[in-house]
Amino acid sequence: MLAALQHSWVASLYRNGNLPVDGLRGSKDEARFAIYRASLAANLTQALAGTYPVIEKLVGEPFFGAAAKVYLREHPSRHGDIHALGEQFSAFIEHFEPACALPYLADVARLEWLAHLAFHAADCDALDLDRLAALSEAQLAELHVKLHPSLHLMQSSFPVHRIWQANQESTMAAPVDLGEGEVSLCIFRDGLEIALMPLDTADYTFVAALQDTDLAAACERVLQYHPAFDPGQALYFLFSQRLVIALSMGDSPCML
Amino acid sequence: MTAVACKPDATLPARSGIGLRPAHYRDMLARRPPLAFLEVHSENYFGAGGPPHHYLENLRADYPLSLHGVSLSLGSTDPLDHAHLLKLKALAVRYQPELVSDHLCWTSADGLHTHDLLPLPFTEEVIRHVAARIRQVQDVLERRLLVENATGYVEFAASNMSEWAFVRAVVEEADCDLLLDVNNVYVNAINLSFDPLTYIEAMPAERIKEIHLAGFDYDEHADCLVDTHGKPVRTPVWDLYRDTIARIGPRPTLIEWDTDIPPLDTLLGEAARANMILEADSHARRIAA
Repeated sequence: MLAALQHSWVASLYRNGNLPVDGLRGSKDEARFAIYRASLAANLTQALAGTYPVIEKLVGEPFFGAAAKVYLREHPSRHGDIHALGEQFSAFIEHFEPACALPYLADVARLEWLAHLAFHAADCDALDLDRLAALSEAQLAELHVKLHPSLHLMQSSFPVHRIWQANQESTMAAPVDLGEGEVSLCIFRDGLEIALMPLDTADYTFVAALQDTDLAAACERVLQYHPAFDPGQALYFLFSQRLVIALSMGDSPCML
Repeated sequence: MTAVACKPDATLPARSGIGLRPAHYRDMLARRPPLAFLEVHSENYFGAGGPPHHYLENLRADYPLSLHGVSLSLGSTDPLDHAHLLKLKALAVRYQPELVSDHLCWTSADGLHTHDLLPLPFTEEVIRHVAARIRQVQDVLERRLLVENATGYVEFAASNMSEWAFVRAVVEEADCDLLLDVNNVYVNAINLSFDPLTYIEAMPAERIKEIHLAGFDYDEHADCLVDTHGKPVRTPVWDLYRDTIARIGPRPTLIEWDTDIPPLDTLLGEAARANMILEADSHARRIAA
C-alpha cells in the first residue's frame, strides 16, 4: 500500500501535469495536494538559484524559474543532500533552446558549479615555499605535488571570469567585453572566499598535469609546447596562493 | 535486532534556541547572543569543509547543538540510504551534538528526492515500517534519535487511526524520542478539524526532548494553513505552547525560521518570548509547590 502511494506521489509531484494521486479522502485534498507540488517547485528552484546566482541574475528570475522547471523534470533530485541538485545544469543549459542567444551561459554555469564544489571542499593546511627549497635535485625529479582539493580548472571561449565578477553582490557591475575572448581559469577557495585566477596556457597545462603526474613529467609536458615556460615561477604561484598541501616522493606515500 | 547502545542522555537546557542560518553567520559570531542552544539542518554540513564548517565549529564552542535532519526519509519504502546515514554519523562524531533528530514523514521514493516533508497514512503497517527504520538509524548512529511530528495537509483513505495514536505508537515501538512541533500540531488541528490539546495530551511526555515553534501561512485557494516557517509564531500557537508546557513541563524550545529569513534580532525576540513562557511556568510551579 505505502509503496504504491509513494510512487504515485513522486510521479505526480515531479510531472508538470495535474496527475491525480491515489488514496486521498478529504474534499479539499486535490487543492491541498497542489500545495506540495508548488512547494517542491519553489524549494528546488530556490536551491538551484543558490548554486547558480549569476545565471539567475543574467537571465532574470522568471526565465530562471522556467528553465529550472524543465531541468527538474529531466533531472529530478537523486540525493538526500540538496547540494548535489545542480550537477547537470550546465550541460542542460548548453542544449536549452530558449537560452541559445546567450552562448556563454553554459560556461558560466560550469564555472558556478566548480565554485560551488570549491566552496564545500575539505579544509587543508598549505605548505610553505621553504619546504621546496630544502629538497635536492634528485628529490625534485621524483616529486609529486598535491594541490588543494578546492582547486578546479576550466577553459572557456568567453571571458566567464569577468562575467562572474561583474555579477557578484560585492562588486560594481562593469561592462564585460565578450571580444576579450577565451580564458583558462583556476578556481579555488581562498580563506572563506572563492577566488578566480586566469592562467596563461603554459601555467594552466602545468597545473592540470600536476593533478595526474609528478613534477618532472608535468614540466616535460608543458615544455614540449612552451619552451619558455618557467616551472619555478609556476610553483611559486601555487605556493603563494596556498594551494600546495603535500609533497611526496615517487610511489612512496611518505610525505616530505 | 540488537539493543541500541545509547549514550547517556545528553540534554539541552530547557530554554529557547534558534536555527542557525547562513544569513546570520557573521552576526552570530560578532554578537554571540545568549541562547540555550543552536540547531542546524544536518544536510547543510554534509560538505567536507569551507565556510559552513568554519562558522559552525566556531559557534559550537559556545553553544549546545542540535542536529536536525530533513532527508533521512524515515517513512519511505525505498531502502534506507546508508551513505547518507554514515555522513550524518560522521557529522555527529565531529560535532558531538546534544540531540540528533529527523522527521516522521517521507521525502523520497523510487530513488527520487522531493526535499519536502510528505505525510504518511496512519496504519499499523506504517507504524511497523517506520519504527523498524528508526531502530536501524539508532543502531547505526549508536545514539537515540528524536523524530518530529510532521504536517499533513491531506487525509489518506487508508488511515484507520488518529495522528496522535500513530505518533505515540511509532515512538514507543521504535523506542526513540520525540521532537514535538507545536506549530505542526496546531496546523493539522485546524486543517483537519481536531482539538490540538487532545493530540498534545496523547503524547508520551517523558519522550519529548525538544519543542519546535514556527510561523504558518494561509493558502486561501486550498483553505489550508501552510507550515512555511517564514513568519513569526502566531498567537494561537503561543497559547498552545503555553498549555503544552503547563502539561509536560519546560523543554528546550527552538524558534524555526527557514524562508524569508528576518534579521537576527527578530529571531532573538521570538526566543525571548518563548523564555518568558518557560519562566512563567517555572514560577507557577514553584508557587504551586
